[in-house]
Amino acid sequence: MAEVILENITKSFGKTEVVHNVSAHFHDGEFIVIVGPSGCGKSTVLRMIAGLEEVSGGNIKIGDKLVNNLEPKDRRIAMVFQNYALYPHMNVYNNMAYGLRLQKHSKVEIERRVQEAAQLLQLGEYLQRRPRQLSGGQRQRVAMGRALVRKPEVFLFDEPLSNLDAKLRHQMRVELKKMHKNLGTTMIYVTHDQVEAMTLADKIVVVNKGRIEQIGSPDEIYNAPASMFVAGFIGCPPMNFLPAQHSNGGLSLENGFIIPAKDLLIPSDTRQLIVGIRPEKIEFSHLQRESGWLEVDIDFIEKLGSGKLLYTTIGPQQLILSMANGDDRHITRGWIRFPAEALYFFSHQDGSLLKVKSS
Amino acid sequence: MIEQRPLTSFFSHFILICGVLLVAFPIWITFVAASHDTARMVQVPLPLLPGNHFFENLLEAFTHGVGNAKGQSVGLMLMNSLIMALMIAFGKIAISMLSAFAIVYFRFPFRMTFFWMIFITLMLPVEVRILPTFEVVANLHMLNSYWGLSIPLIASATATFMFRQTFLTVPDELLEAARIDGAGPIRFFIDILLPISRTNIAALFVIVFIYGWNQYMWPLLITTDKDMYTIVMGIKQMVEAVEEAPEWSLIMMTTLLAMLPPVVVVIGMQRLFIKGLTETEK
Amino acid sequence: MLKRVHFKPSPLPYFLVAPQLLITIVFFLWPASQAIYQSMLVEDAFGLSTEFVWFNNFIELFSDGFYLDTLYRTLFFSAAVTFISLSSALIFAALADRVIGAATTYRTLLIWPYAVAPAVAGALWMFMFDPTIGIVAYFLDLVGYDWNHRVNGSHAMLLVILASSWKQISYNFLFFFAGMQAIPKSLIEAAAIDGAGPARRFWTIIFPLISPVTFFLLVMNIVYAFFDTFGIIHAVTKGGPAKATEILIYKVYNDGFIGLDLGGSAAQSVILMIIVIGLTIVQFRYIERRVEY
Repeated sequence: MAEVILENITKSFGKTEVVHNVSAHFHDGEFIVIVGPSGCGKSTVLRMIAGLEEVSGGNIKIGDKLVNNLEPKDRRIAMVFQNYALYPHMNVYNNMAYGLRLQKHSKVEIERRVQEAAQLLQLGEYLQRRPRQLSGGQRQRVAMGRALVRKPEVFLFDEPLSNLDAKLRHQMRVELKKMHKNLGTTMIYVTHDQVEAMTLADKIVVVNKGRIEQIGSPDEIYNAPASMFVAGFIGCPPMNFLPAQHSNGGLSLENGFIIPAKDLLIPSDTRQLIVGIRPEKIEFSHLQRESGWLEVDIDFIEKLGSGKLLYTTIGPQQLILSMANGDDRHITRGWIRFPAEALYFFSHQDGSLLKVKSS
Repeated sequence: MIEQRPLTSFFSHFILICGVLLVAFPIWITFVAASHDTARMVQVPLPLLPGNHFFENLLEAFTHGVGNAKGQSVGLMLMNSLIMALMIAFGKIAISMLSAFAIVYFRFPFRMTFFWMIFITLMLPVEVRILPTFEVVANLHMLNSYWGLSIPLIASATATFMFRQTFLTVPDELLEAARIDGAGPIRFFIDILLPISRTNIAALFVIVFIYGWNQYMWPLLITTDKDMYTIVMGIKQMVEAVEEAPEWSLIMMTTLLAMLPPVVVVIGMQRLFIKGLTETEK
Repeated sequence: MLKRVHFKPSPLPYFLVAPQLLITIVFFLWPASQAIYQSMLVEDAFGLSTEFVWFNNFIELFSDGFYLDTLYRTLFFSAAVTFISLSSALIFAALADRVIGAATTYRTLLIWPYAVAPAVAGALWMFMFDPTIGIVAYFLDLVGYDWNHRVNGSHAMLLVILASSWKQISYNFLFFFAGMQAIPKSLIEAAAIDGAGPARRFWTIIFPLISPVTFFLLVMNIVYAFFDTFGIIHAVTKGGPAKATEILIYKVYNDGFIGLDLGGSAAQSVILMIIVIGLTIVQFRYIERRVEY
């Protein structure tokens, strides 16, 4: 078991730099999820930790050993791939045993470890099968088994669940979390799915365009996003963003509505800014309200079963409201309010979070 | 399925059966000729139905050979053909797999130069550079040897291309998984790449075996020693001797024997043969 | 072209390509360059001295009536072989594609001549047409036709064309058949629903869809007729009678090994090389374009 430290990692392919100056400290036993849109460089970071890509600059340490120039096999890591990468011509047993044989473990030891992993993953009856005779979920387990038998200090997962159907994905997510609890080994998990990030992680790393946008616990990331990107990427449906301007007594939206701002402590030197609010934080009323409430037309409603989403527009901007079930009347209009404590303010220029002045 | 009119169906079968007969007729005649004694085979008209000297002729071909003056045993010629075909097949598969492996899985200076050098051989069949190639083989003292028969024929761009194509379809993650498992290039080649390419290897083997077995011009040029004659060129020598001793039944028996191995390979391993043919030729 | 991932730099790849490269250089590139060099040399009658004459050998070749005759003869021969073997294979494939159930049986029965060596194919046909003993010659004699390919040049040409086409049918059949089987059945069914009969379906749907295969086979057949038929011609006619069946590849062999005309034979080799290179380029152009298909 070990901690993983990234110090100013960069990666260039030819002249294009795809990972810029990434630094992070992952503690021993943590479940780290690196999340970001496709092509953001998150897989590259993982593959550099694995040793499958060389770093162009910076240092990677696994358990205070500098591993920059170590071969993957010597880094005491194990990896699970998106397409599983099982050896198609070997049966399940040999798929798991192959690495151990190359490490020159004794036959008895190999047998013991493979049986142990097979039992943990309920693969016992499939040991003699070839990968193509297995279902997607079973292949996934074999891939995990192959990682498990190595008894690595760090597990690396590269979008391991994205080839599974929704139901199986949920099931494997739970099992993965259980496995982490049992083993207590450091795990680094790459995904583009923010739900996986929120549910699995002890610590989330949000990556965008080759840079780290934010590192934090799921709660921190959700409640205190460091930028518009993080706020928009984490959460489903995503946070609403509305361009606004300072005006007397508040913030003026594009349709002229003014959010009362006497109790808002925003920096007044920024005239233009972007207001963010989570869909579930917007208050809604069927009844006509007075000041501070905005009358809107409801364009349509998406029923989710457990709740519903209301779609409306403010000027050219779409606004999504998330509500519990209840009043099932056909709603075509209503009044909404933005509670001051639920608002986030982002820079118009670079999308960074604007600090609220402490009063 | 779409309509099957009995009449058109009958017509299709009729034409196809005619085609099959047309294609098979020369072989039938050969078989018939091989089953009669020598005396019968000089009387006009020749028989259209088999006789009962087949095994006699078979024995004769193996023990005495044909055209007593020239007298190479058919067994020896078959053996030479087999050795040549196998050497070409194994040699070609080995060298083209290794070079395809290097070109696909490594990045190294002159990679593309090498690739083009191999590629250009596509445009140089042995027939068009026959004289200078003969000189090279003569200078290397490889005339009348198995090496001389096979080595100049084992380099080929098509086989290299086929393996390159095969390797490119192998998922990258397999290599990465193997690297994490601790396999170096050679281990990866032996443990992973070789087993997963085995149907391609078999398919190529079928094609190259036939190619090697059927070589004619090259053995004709570089073998002057009777002990090195291959069966395909041996037939030619026999046909030439036919004026003096028209042993047609023995000649046709030998012809049958010369055809047999590749034909058995094609029919017996039809699936691999078709795969090999369609994959190496594009 | 190259994998995204690859092994670390090491000298290993050089060792891996070395065998193929060595053979390529020694038996392909060096002889080819020798052929080009020799094609510009003239050797005196006793082989004692050579003279560098630039393109004289080529100029001589193209002003040599015999060479031009051979060239035209080769073109005629190739065209005939290509036409006969392609068209009969196309007919067989189209019919086999229609007969359900028995299609693969017919395939098995039609493909095996591919395995017969050209020289052996030559021997078979020569035996059938042997003027004194051959079975076909006998039947021709019965209907009053005097067949003798040993003295009659047209007979000889016809015989090598037939033998060459016979051997090539299976190859063409295989590719046509595979091409037709690859056409989605739904397409044919759609055409049937649109009211197209079998013949119309063939010419408006199947034939256009296999046109890439046809083109590919066209080139392959030309290559076959130019080079691989050497065995047939050598076994059956030796280019005779009176050069009636001498094609380019046979002439290279004959002038080089029998006539020992070094420069002339080398120049002919170079011309053949240019033909192969041309055909290969055509083939590759077409493969590039086929991507859209």
